[in-house]
Amino acid sequence: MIARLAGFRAAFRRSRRNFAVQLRRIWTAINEPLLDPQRYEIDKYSLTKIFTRYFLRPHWKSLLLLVVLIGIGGARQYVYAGANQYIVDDIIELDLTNPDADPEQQDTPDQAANAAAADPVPAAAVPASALPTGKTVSQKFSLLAEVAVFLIFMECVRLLFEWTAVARGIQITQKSLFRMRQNLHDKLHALPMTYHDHHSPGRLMTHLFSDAQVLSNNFVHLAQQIPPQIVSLITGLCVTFYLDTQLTFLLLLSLPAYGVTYRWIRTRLRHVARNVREREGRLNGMIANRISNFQVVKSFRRETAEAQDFLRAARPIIQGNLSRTVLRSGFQIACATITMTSLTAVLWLGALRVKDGVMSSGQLVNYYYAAATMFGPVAGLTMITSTLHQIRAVATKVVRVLDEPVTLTDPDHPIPPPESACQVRFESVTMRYQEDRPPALSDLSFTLDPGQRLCIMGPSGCGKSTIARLIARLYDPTEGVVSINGVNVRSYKMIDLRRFVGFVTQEPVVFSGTIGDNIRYGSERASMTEVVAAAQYAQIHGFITTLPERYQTLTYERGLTLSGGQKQRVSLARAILYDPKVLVLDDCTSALDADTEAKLIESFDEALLGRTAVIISHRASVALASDLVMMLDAGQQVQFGPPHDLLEVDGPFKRLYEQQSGAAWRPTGPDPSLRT
Amino acid sequence: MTHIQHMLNALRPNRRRVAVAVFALLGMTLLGVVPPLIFMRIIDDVIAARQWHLLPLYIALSFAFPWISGIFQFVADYLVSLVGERLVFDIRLDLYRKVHRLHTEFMQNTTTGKLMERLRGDVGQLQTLLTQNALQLGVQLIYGLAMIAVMAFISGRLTILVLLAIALYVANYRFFVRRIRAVQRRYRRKMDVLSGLAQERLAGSIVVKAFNNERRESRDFARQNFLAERVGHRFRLLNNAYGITSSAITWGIRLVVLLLGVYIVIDEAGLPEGRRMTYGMLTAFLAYTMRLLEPAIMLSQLSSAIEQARVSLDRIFDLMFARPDTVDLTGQRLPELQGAVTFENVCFEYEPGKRVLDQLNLYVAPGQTVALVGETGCGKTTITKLLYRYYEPQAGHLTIDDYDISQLDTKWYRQHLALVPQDPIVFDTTIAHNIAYGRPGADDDAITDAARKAEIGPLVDRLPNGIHTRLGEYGEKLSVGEKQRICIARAILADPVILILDEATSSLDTESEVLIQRALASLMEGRTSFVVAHRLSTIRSADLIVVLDRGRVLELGSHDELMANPDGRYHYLYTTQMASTPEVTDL
Repeated sequence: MIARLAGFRAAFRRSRRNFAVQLRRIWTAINEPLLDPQRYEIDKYSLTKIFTRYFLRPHWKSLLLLVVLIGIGGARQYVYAGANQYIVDDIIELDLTNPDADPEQQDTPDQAANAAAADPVPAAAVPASALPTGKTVSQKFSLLAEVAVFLIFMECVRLLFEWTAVARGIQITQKSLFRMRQNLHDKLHALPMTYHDHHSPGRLMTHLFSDAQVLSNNFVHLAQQIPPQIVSLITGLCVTFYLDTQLTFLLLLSLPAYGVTYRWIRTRLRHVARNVREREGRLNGMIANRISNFQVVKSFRRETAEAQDFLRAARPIIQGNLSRTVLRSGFQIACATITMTSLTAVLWLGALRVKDGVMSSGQLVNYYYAAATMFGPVAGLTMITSTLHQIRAVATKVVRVLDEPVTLTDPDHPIPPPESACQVRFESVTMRYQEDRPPALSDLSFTLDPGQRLCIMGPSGCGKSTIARLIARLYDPTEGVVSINGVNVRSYKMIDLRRFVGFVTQEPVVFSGTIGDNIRYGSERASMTEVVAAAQYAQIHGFITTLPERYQTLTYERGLTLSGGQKQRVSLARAILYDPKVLVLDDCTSALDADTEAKLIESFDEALLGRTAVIISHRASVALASDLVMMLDAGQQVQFGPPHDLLEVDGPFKRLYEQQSGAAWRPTGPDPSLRT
Repeated sequence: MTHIQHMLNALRPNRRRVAVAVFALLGMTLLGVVPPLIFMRIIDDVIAARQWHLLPLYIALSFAFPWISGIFQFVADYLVSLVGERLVFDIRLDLYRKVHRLHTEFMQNTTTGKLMERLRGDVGQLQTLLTQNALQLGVQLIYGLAMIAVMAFISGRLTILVLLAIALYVANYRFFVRRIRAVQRRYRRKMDVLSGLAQERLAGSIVVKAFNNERRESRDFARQNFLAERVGHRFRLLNNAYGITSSAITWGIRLVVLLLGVYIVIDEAGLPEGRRMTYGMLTAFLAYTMRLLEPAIMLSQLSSAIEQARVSLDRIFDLMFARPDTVDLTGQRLPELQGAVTFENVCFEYEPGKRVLDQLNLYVAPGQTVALVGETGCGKTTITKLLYRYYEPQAGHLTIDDYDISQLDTKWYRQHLALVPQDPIVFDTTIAHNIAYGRPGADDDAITDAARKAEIGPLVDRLPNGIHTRLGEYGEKLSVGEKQRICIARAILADPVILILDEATSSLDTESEVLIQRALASLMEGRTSFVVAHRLSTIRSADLIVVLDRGRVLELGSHDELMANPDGRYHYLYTTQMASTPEVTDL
């Protein structure tokens, strides 16, 4: 096995050694289509929606201030360029320092070359101060002092502006982040169960944390980036056009070159990056999956095979990352080349103008600096468009959550909740979770009188849990009516309905906190005596008293990890304490041992007194302790009636009962399980 | 230091590429010094000195320059990325293989998240350190030194000024870094609390709904959200203050150099060429100053990057050198394994003084089914772990076919074992891949055959792509019972001599249960099987029932034999379980 892996690894290496092959692979990776295009569908307006909702509307004044304050900074560079012109022409007086460098010299290159070879600068022999310059040295110094005061003042003001703008920006970020996160959180809890069924909590957490953060950070970042870039670009254009129109037209010729390069590389880079991310995700998913199930990996001796799988998945990622580098590096180099070429051209033509006396040296310096500054925003704005594209994908996800319709809504004219025990009634209820799937329940009708206890049984997937969820209105039925006390559950306010309908889930949920808090969840004001009573009914009090800190014992992190059965009992205690009129228990005794379950069933008589209860179970013992039993199969009611009546007839309940009680048990062969 | 040696070792196969990359980087760096010099020459020699014939030369140089340095940059980028990627994937592969060879105990005490963090986050950190920080730092350092040399040549006085200003950066960094880090730590803690809360409540959203607690959840979340964002505000404020002071220093230096430079140019205008500073030299000097400050900022932030990377390195090597699984002593392979298992006075303890198995004696003949019964912590699972040789007994002997288990080649021996775990583990691949997991390369017929024996034939027939249907998040979702049967099919195909079956505790509906029992029966046939039993009903047909109590065998025998003793533990356990269907005798 090890030899095989070594061979595999060597082949992997060898294939990477061949440069031509490598290049071809990179080219393929660059032109590879998106792996999973639907996942990256983008809503064009999502960004605008989020922006107006969380930034523009609540913070428009701050944003305006920020944009103005920061935008001014964009023009600063040109002041420096202008200051340079002033320094060159009026303070240093560069054009006046070389009186004998007259235009004729250009016609005699040989002579000049000889002169240059002998003595690089012929004028150097003459002291500059002796030349007929316009100003004395002290005059120059005072002019320089003026420039210094002006520039220092400008920098101080700019700093003040920038700090104000940044502080405002941070405030906007924080406030919008807070609000967005809170809205997302509340929305997620408002969304119906169908939504949660299809979205894992991990994915929802991404929206709540990283997506919200990315959006609020980037919006403010962009608000601080775009205005100075635009101001800079416009000022740059004005300055360059003012200094020399023809040169500027020439300079603008480089823009299409940028555009073409950017367009070509952008989509490819995006695709490659996404494919890499997608593959990384798959690889990480695979690894996580294998690590968490290391027992199976070990017990089937898959270590070598796993390493091969890893290599196979890793290869396209390496390819992708390499092509990403190639594209990114290529783009950078292309941009640098375009910039340098244009600036050189400007310098060349500009120098020729100085030679012809059309332009002063200071103007050339100013023009060169202004042009160089102007290329900053051109590159900057291309970066901004790609940032915008990225956060648009994020915004799409966030908007999708925020705009997700809440299908379960409160009625316009709600009916007040019932006071006494409730009757539960299903009238030809059909429930489909998905259009193309067979219904989970079809045409089911039954009535449960106040205070009665119903046990629902049947194979998994037959629709038992659906009944439970429909009563608590976690879903609305596709057809038919679920009513409580003769009133359609849709006519109650959701908050009222869930107040008198209690629900214990199939998978017990225990939050971190103390055990006491967990039982008190939903009825926070309950007294300790009530909590203990509920725990006693749920047969968990005895266990809790063995713990050193009893009801104050922490669950989860650094605390106690409860077993499945203990969790179920904590959930049950929580529901009993909640004191609902209708109690729905979804298979909440499956992990209990025989003793505890027997005691629990005994305590039901007292705990469920005066409540209408629907209990889902696989165990005949629970059914026998109920008033009514319903046998379900594939969403249809097969048997319904008091348990003892059902035992009289030959039917699924009787068969189940016999299987479980062991009456028909034989000592050989595979053996149906006995539910204890 | 060993870490650095290790990293160098890992780099060895790439040393030629690294050398070329370093050469390209050096070339690119030194070329970077050129453009300001060209500009300086054009200002001084051409424009100020009116030597127009030199212009075409300088312009030609200026045009050629980006192409040459571009080639260097491209080669450097490509090679650095190639070496970095290869290194990282080699390390990741080594770590991943190591993880699978680690000791069971280590794996059980480490969460998947933590291991994933090693494989992904820490290795990524390392890549950043190597390819960006270390390499870039080296290059920037050389670049910086080259520039300082040129700058000193242009003007010594101004260079000293700039170097002093760099000290300002460092002071500024030192002022902020501790404060920022402290706030950042607090912010991260608050965010952990917030995300922990949200995660838990979102995962339990059904309970939040059932108990009408949406509003309270919103309130709780708002409180934590507010607390987190208050610290976040401080954090961002400090961060930005640092950024702004840094940029103020940058612009301050630039301004001072410009003004002082002009002052010097005017002042020295009378001096002869070569001893005075010209305006062109000043422009070059300013350009260098701005470029020098970039690596200076980077340098001042580097200590934190290195610190982070060191933590990552430590973690990576901790994992690399973690204790591996049991190793072979003699490594004997037998022509055939019969499957007779003998425990002879076996003692075992995980922690000193806490005996989990105490002088355990047990003989299992080939092909027998043994059910292990007892309360949690009585040693049932430990027996299976010893059988897998994840651990060695501290005293006594565990022999397989009359050979001490420590004499056998572990790898070979484990090939004859198969485990059906308590919670069915099914990977998000195809059904075929899952079933053939223990025997890669098994053909479709064998897989289908195993599937039929494990009672998933009807399921496979129902699915559109048969055994090649994908499972998991983007594929078909299976019920627990179906997953359990896939695990059974996997064990059937692996065809073990000794089977270890950890029975599921949670109950299924009767129909699934019947199917599973049938599948298990066909799996256990003719194999030595150890069943960790949680429900007595499933083990009545076992050849041997072992009732364990605190690491000792309390009772031993078949169901009927054990039931014959009314005072026995088994009798008690069995009758209690039966009693939970109380009305049975009445009817």
